[in-house]
Amino acid sequence: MARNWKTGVAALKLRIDVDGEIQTLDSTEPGSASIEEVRRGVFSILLGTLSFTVNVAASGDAFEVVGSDGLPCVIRVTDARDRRGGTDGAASKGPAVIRAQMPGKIIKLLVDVHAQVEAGQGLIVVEAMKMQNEVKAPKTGKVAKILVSAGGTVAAGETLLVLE
Amino acid sequence: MFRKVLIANRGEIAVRIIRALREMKIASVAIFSEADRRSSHVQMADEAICVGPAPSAESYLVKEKILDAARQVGAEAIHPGYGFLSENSAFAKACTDAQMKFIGPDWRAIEQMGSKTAARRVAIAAGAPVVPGTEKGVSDPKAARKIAAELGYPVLLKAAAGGGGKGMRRVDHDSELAAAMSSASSEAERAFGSGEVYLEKLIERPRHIEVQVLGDEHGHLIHLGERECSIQRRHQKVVEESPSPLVLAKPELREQIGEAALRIARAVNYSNAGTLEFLADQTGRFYFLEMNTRLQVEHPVTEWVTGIDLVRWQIRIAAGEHLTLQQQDIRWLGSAIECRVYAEDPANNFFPSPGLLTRYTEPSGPGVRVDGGVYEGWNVPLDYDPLLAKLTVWGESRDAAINRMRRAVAEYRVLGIKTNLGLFAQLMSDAAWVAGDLDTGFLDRFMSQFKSEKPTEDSKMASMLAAARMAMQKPAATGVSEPESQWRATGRRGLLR
Repeated sequence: MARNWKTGVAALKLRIDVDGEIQTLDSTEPGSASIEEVRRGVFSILLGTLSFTVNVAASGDAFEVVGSDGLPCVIRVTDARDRRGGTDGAASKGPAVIRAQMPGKIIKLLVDVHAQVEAGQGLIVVEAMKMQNEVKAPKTGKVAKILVSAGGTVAAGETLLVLE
Repeated sequence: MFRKVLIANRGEIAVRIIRALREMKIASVAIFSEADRRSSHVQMADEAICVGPAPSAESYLVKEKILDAARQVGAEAIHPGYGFLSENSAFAKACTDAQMKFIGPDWRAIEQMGSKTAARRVAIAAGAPVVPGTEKGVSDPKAARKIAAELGYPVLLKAAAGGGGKGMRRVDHDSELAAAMSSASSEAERAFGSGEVYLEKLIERPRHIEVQVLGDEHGHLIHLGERECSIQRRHQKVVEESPSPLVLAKPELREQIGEAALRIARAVNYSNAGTLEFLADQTGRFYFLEMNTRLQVEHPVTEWVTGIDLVRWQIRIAAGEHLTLQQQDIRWLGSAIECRVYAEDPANNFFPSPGLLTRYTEPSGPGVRVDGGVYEGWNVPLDYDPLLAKLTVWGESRDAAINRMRRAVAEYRVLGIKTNLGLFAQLMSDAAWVAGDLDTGFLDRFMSQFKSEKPTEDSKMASMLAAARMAMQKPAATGVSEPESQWRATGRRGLLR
C-alpha cells in the first residue's frame, strides 16, 4: 500500500518496513505534512491539521518509534529506487536498461560511455518536482550507451542509459 | 530529629526516600552496587557508598556492609525501603544493637508477623477473620468430609509443604473429596516429598484488599483506609487503587476492615507504617492473609487520597515523635490509581526486558505523579527488580482517575526496552475494569485476549515520516545503505529543512 504525502523528506520513494509490513512513502505525490524535530529524536508531525508527537531512536540498522498509542514499532527505511537489495532489484546478469521513473530534467551525467561502474553507483541526476534524484546502477558492469544529455528533459519510462 | 539517614535500598524507592529527607532538611546517604554507580539514587543523594558487586547477595543484602557504611558516614538511622532487608528481623535487630535507628517497626513485630502461620494465630487471637480451614494436615477422608461440611463447599485442598499450585485441588461436592484428597496428596508427595494436605474454604473470585496502618512508638495507631490490588500476575501486583471499588459500593466496609487491621496490629504493638493484606469475596466478606511490616510499593495511592506523606511520618515516628493524626481526622478525597511500569514485554509472556533507555519521557501535568529512578541513557540492569517507575494519578472520582491515567500513559514514551505501558492503555478502556468488577484472576483473563493494538493509519504515517526524516539525517546509521556522494547528501539535507 502506498500512501502519498508531500513531506519535505526529499524527492524520494522510500520503502518502509513497519514491523514487517512493507509500505512505500512517495514524496512526489500531493498531500501535506510538516515535520519538526523539536528535540533530539522527538518529532512533531502535522498531517494536515492532525498533530502527532513521535519519539525515534536508532536501533541497529532500523529505528524504534513510539507515538501516542504507547506501542513501539520497528521501522526500516530504504530507498525504493535502490535496486540492489530490494524485492524489485534487477537481475545481475545480462544488459540492464535504465529508464526514467517519472518525467524530469537531466541535471548531470555522473559517468561516461564505456565507464566501468559498481552496483549502486550513481549514474545520472534527474530533477523532478523541484527535487533531485540520483539514478543508480542496478548491477556492476560497463556503460554501453547513454541516450540523454545534461539539460535535456525526459518522459516517464524513457530509456536513459544501458549497462552491460 | 536525625541529621543523616542511610537508605538501604536502590531505584525508585531510594529516590522517594531521598526526596522526603531533603524536604525534612536531613542529609541522605545512598548505598549502591557496582551495577548502580550511574543510577538516579546515587546522583540524588548527598553522599553515596559502594557496598559491593552487582548481585544483591553481595551488596544490598549484606547487613554488615550496610551497617559499616552507616557508621563510616555517621548516619543515625537506616531506612530499608521495601524488599531487600526491609522485613528481615535480624537486620532490624542488628541496627538496634548497633544503636542505629531502624526506620520501621520493632524487630520483634517483624519476626512475629514474618511467619504466615504465626500471623494467622495472632489474627485469630485478636478476633480478626481469617480464611477458615485446618491449620494442620488431614489424612483421614472421613475427618476431612466432616471439616469440609463445616467450612462449606467449595473447599480447597492445599499441600502443607509447598505452593505454586502443586497438590492443590478445588472440591465442589462431598462426593469428590476422597478422590481429590488422594490425588492431591500423591502429587504433593512427588513435588515436596510430603503428602500432607490441608483444607481451606475456597473464596470464589477473591479480591485483594489491604489496609495501611500507621502507628507511633507511644501506642497510638490509626488506619489510612484500604487499597485494592486485585490486578496482579503470579502474585505480583501490577495496578493498585484507593478507594477499592468494593468500598465505593459498600462504604461501611472501610471501617470494618480498618478496625480488623487495627486489632491485629495492636496485638503485636505495631509501630511505624505497615500493611495488612486481606482477601475479600464479592459480597464484602473479608479474611486476613498476612502483614507486610514495611512501607508498601503502592503507598502513593494512599498518599494521594489522604494527603498524608507516609515516608515523612515514618521518619518522624522513628525519631520518637508522637503521631499527631487522630483516626477521626482522616479524610479520603477522590480516587487514586497506580500502574507499575515494568521493563518487561506483555506480548511475550512478560519476559524481562533490561537494556538501554534510548528515549525516555515521563508524563506530567495535573494529578500525575511519577515515582521513578530511571532516565534516558540509563541502562536497566538485569540484576534487580524490573520496576522502572510507578505512575500514579489522582482524580475527583474513579472515572476521572481512569481518564487521567489513560492520558498520562499516552504521554509516557519509552524506547530501547519493552514495557507494559501498552497493557495499561488498553486496561484503562476495559469495560470490566471501568466497572470495578475485579478479582485476582482478572489480569490472567484480560491477558488471554490481549493483542497489541494496531495504530491508526494516520499515526502509522506520522511514525513513518519521523523515521524517514531520521534516516535522512543519519545516512550511515540507517537502512539507506548506498554510498552517497557528498553533494547528494548535502542536497538531501537541504531539502529536509
